[in-house]
Amino acid sequence: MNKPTIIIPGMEKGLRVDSRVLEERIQKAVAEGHRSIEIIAQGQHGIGGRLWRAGSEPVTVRVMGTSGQRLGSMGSPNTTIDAVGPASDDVGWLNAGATITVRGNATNGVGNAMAQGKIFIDGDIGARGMTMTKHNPRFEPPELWVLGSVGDSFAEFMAGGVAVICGWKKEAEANILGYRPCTGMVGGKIFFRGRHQGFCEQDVRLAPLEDGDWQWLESGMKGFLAAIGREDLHPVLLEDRGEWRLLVARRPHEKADGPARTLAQFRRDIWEKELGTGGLIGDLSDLDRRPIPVITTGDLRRFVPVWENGKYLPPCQANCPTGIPVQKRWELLRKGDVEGAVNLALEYTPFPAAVCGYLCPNLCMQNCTRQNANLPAVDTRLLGKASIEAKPPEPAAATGGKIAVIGAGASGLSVAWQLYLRGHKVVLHDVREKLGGKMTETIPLSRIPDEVLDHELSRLSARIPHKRLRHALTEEEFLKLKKANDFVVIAVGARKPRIPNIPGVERAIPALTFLAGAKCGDAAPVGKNVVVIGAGNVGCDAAGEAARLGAESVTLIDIQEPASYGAERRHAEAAGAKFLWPRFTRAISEKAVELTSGESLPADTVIIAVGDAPDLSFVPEPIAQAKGSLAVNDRYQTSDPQVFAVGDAVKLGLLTQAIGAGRIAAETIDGMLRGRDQVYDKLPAVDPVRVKLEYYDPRAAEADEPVACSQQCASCGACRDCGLCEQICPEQAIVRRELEDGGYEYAVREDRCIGCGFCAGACPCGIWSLVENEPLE
Amino acid sequence: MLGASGVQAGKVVMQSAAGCLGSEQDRCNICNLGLCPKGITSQDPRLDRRLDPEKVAERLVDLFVSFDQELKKIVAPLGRSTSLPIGMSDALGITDRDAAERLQIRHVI
Repeated sequence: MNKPTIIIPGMEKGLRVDSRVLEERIQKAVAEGHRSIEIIAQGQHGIGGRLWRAGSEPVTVRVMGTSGQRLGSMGSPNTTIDAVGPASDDVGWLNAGATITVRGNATNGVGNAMAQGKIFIDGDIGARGMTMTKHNPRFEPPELWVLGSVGDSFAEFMAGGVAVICGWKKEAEANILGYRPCTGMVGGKIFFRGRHQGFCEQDVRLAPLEDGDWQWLESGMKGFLAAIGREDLHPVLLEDRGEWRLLVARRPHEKADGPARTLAQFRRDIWEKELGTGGLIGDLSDLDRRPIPVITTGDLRRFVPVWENGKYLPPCQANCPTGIPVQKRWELLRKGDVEGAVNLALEYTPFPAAVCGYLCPNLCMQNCTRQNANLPAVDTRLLGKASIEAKPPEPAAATGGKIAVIGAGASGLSVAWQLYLRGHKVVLHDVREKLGGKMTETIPLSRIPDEVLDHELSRLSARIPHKRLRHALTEEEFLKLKKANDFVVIAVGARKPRIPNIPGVERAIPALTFLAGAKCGDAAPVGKNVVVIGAGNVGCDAAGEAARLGAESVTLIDIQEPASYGAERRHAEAAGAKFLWPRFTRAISEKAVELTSGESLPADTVIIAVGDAPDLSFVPEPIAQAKGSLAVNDRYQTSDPQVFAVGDAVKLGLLTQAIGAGRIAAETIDGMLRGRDQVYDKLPAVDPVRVKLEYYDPRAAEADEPVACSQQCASCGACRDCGLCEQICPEQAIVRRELEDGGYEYAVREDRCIGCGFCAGACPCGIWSLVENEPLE
Repeated sequence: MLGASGVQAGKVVMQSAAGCLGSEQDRCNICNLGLCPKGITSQDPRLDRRLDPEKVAERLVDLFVSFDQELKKIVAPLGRSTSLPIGMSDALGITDRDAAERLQIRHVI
């Protein structure tokens, strides 16, 4: 048998009982068998919910006093809750079956997400009543009965259940459904009586009240009115069936939404209308945002081709210290202008045959792009040898500028030649009778036939006056020269042999002395065994000459791996010279070179070739020197702006480097004499990967004469006007244009070009380059 | 803890709809360089204009609508619709009989 009604107070000893404690006491009472409970509430939370311990036995909870929030939340089907006063928020939240009666108004969230049970309100309710309710078809749908009216956002996302709004005594009110009811409602029904200000037309519609609906309303109303004790209202509320209306959720197929608004429409009609043109970033960017295809033209291309003809130097020219436009000469040859090709060199060097054809290690060939595809370099030596016939250009009109060049070696002659060509008055000063310096004196005949050198020197001596000095220049004479001339160029070379400080060194011969003697035929006789100390290129020349003069064994020693290379090294090796390193000389005795290792190399003749230094005894103090050479800037000007220095007097190097230095110095002097503000910027070398060598047959025989060579030149960085780009362009975007100056150019039609890069990929000479387009903003 | 990469259901759908070239196995993986060839992760107008947001939205809608269609084929025999399935615990079903018994939900074959 059930126990009698238990009264659980919400106040205890003058203190309010916690919601949790009150809940525990209610649960305990149910567990103890109480089925009728009276709560004297003091605003406690969640009263009457979760009483499923009673199983199917009905439990009655009467709430006196003030109910708190969530009255009957998660209520069980066996529970009947009767609150005698009004109630706070969320009455019947997640109600799972309880019947909850509120004898007064209830605030927001009544029946929120309830699934079963009934809620009877004897009054009005606040906002968001009957939201997210649902209906499990295995059970009766949840019901909410409101005697008065409901607040805003009623039945939002309602998915099931029935709500009845009686509108009692609200007949004068304009809206008993609140603002925006039924948004997102997908299921359930709402009966209402009274006026309204609209509902979510998209989700719900008014439906005719069928007989079945009316019968349900009639019978349900009885229960509701009985629960709130207002049976007297039954005939009043149901007096006129026409006063009642029914809202039902639209089925998905009934939804009145037309075709979805496109994003573009949204942007135009809503976004930009609210935020202004361009939306949030309208004030920062006015870029067109319309979608574009992957393949685009004009400004929208990510990469654009550029015709970079002559923007880069070919590697041959870039690597030639003299700066000879080697490739330009091949081009002239290809065009059939043999004479032009040959003559061109004389504008850059006075020794196109002797140096390019014989004495130079040909840095142009060492850097020839063709070698990247294992093709032989275009042979500049052939062109050099052919240049013996070159006809010198006429010098420019006389300027009256006076320059003295001290030293008539390769660098001095280069300066003099360049200044002569530019119309200046230049005089060579040298103690030697013959021009040419080391070229004439010490380079063995095996390296270059005399007639070639003589021919080129005579071309110079015929044009440039040579003042032979009776003795080595003194400081006083130098200052006099400086006074008498606009500029003085020091090109005295390095003729003072470096002699190591070792016992018996006086027995050794300096290499340059030996070579000079060997060349003119008055050399001291060479013994059977020759040791050359220092295995550089001069040492190699000396070794070769020693062998030629009858030495049986020639040994070169060096303190490190010999730096010699090229023709000199090959000559020495061909002569049977032995290279030993690292070897350190301790002393030179009568018959041998003693090494620090204790080794003794038999030596009848010892040649010292550990380098040479310039003799700068005549150079006055104020002109700066560094490490025994003259200090110069990158235009070969010394600390005295009137004095230039080139060649070995500045830094030991190759003939071509001496000639190149001479050309730069002469260019600078010329600029200063003419008062020009010169800018000497050299173009960068072309990236060899850009040059396509697939067009050349690797099986083709190496060309053995200049015209054939010219056909093999890849013309790096210089357009050959082959028209391949025009042909290959898939969009016909490349056009060849004749220029007014008689030249031509290839141009891109921006409106057609898609930036595919075929032109850059196909161009044999590496003219076309595909570069990233300029940023759009 | 979970970045976008961790939430596959969200990320992959968006990526796929936008035409992302990457996949878990074989990624193009230059998202961080601003050079996305599909314009998804780029600020360069020449790239990001390749992305047509409207088409992406259409594909996303198509995906979920077709997903809904398929879901309907499953839940309609259970007597339910796919509209706002809040709390439709009765519409839960599983093909594993033991699991169905244990969870007391419907066993569907």
